[in-house]
Amino acid sequence: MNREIIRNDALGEQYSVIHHPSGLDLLIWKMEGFSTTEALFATKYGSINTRFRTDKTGDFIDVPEGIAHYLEHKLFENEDTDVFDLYAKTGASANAFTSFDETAYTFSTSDNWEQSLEILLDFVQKPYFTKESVDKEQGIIAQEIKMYDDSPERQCFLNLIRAMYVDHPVRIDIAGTVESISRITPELLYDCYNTFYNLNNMVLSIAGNVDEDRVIEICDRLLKPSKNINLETAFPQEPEGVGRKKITAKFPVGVPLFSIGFKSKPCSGVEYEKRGIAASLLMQLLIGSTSPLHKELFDEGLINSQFGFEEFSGTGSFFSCIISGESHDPEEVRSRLMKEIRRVKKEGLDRERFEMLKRSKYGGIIRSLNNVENCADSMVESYFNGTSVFDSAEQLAAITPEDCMKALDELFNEDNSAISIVETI
Amino acid sequence: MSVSFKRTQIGKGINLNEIYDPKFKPNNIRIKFITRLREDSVCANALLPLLLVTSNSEIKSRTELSQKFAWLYGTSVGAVSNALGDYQVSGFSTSPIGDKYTMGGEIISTEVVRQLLLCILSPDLTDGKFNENYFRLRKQELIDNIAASVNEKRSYAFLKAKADIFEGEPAAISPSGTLELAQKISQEDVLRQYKYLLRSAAIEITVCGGGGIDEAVDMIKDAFSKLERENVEEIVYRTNSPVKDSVREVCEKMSVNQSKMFMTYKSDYPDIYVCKLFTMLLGGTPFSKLFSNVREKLSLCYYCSAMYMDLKGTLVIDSGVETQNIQKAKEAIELQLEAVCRGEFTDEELENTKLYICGAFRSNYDSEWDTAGWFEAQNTRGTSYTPDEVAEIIRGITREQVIECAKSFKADTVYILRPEEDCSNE
Repeated sequence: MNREIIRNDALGEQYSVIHHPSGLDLLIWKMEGFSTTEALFATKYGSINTRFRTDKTGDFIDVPEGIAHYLEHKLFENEDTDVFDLYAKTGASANAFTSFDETAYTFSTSDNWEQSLEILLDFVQKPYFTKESVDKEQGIIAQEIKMYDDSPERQCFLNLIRAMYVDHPVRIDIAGTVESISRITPELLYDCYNTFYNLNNMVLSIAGNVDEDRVIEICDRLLKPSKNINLETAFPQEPEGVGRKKITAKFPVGVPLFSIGFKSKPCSGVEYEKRGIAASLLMQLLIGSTSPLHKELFDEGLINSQFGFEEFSGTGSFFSCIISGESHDPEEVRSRLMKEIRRVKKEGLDRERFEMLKRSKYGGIIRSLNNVENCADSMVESYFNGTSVFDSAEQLAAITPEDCMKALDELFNEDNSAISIVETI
Repeated sequence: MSVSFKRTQIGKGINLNEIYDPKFKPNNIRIKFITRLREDSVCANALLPLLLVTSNSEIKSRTELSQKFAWLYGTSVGAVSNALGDYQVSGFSTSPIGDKYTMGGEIISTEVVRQLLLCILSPDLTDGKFNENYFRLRKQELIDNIAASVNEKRSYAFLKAKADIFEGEPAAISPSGTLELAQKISQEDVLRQYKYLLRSAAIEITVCGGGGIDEAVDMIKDAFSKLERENVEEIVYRTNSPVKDSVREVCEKMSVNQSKMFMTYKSDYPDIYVCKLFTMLLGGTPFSKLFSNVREKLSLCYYCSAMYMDLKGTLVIDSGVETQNIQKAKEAIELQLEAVCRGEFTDEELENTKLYICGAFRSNYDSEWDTAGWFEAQNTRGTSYTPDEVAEIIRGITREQVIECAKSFKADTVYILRPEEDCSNE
């Protein structure tokens, strides 16, 4: 078992990466003075992983959309008991989530973290699926899908992804559809479990009030060694351009909603961190609250405070920049944004504001390192990307206006953009 | 825990709460004006924080003010507007990183606070009017926000439900007001209310974080102690809502896929911590009666949970239900409540619930934001218990108290938002 210390002297923070003989890597961040312990047992498996092969399968196989999320729901049922009943004895708050490219089982507790960790490691390694229980879950998940169908913000976002991506499975809702989940069987769940819940494809992240030696001791006792099965996932060849430039829907909303997306090529590792920093700074520079364009749009009443932007990305799989908000004239917002992008490409960016935004982002990093949950989440995210939590701070310190100008061409290509609008019924 | 709490009156009806814990890197600063919810002032109170954070007498441009805060390590000032029982809270919140965490060791806390105080106490006024353009835009934004409340169906349904649950009480008023009220609001209304807030609102100031910002805190004390104050509103946070003579059933229709149901019960039971424990046992945890039976065993709802509004003595059971299951879900929820009244829960269930609540309370220690919120809630109860002290109270509650408390709740209102079809057709 070997151990690495990941440290950032400027931030005065560090955590450990322990390569456990079972095949699992353990990420442990002891945070002095904090009373909570936050743990994530995560697999690099999300809704986009519907096509894969291993040593056992031979050829690639396809599974129904929504199965990763379905599996997450079902893993909470053991053969003899409900996992929540076990956690109930420890006082921990347990949960799980499935994203486009990750599934994680979590707990947060300020007491009995060792017992909670034992429960976490035990149940995630002990699947139990029967036809009866799998069929029963379909009702609950169908209700979850219907609940999301009632959210205009979510539909606006999902429509944008569907417009931008032609073949990539990111265009499918994480929960799948009522039809696709009806094709899920216990056998398929076991196939996916045995493929993606191999410890070589997983990580344990634990932050806050924690003792490294005790974590290792519990892992030694409970982890069942996994043999590497040479997992390969595959995605359809996604064209560079978008599928549709515009998509609209109608909902009972107060003010029309919009999301404008710019699709770019996927990347991973340090490049992914760099791209993330550049994307964030560029969106601030182009249309953030300190920008001339934001002032113009706000002063003319074209946007209001329900306005924001994000990089929507998965390491090695998809990357796009998304700008969303409410507007009585979303097309005009898009037109002004495109004009501003062309201007900045021609005239260059405001170097003083660039330095200001770097400083602002540094403040954001300091704030994020003050949160146990965020530290545990960040360790997983950077681990799956093959980097460390502190790489983004290092990339932020190193980035120059020239780097951002180079990234502007790749990240904000008008030809690769789309708009989704939700109009009022 | 190394947390320290100090509450000081720094003016007539103005309290400063200081909570420090050296592990925190930022300091959260909140300044809140508290007034009784009233139709004639609700929109002005909702609009004022939005307007005041836009500019001030020194920096008259919203963009320049944003740039000022961006240079101060991305510190922003948020506008706060919400309801607290029968009261409306209008305020401001900011979280500068501690001065010792700046790149060059520069002091930023005093400038952040100076700008915040300028926004609140020295606004961008010309000839007795707020900046006309910003007034127009922020007014439109308030109107848009009210119109957009329909977007999120669960919170929209609760907003509508509260109008029936608390009919005739201030708590029935939405803290954003109505479209009609917002459209009528004028510069004069807003200026009048601004002066009223400074003169007569209760003011709660909270500084919570790593500390080391004494000079900035002194600036706050100095500025607020100089305010001319009169007829300060007396705040009685807890006013239990009277139970209706007969249960009111309300059904509204909308273009939705999933129905939202709010079942409410009211009680005068005096000990809020017993009420909280009972609520959690019923529907506040993933192993609660409602979650494990109504959602998991019967699959009747995607979510089904209970919360207790301590300032109104009201229990709210909130569920997302398929329309054809509304009646079944309602009966199943009632059965679980009756089961608790009959004492049909094990000692283990009760102890596990206590453990869960105590852990959740203690987790407040790990965020300056949550810690500030914890002590603000304590103030509404006239206490200053730490999470550990409340955990001790919770641990001492008996099953007999829980049963007695459960029995004291009487059904009051059932509100259902459902798809557009006949409400009686189930």
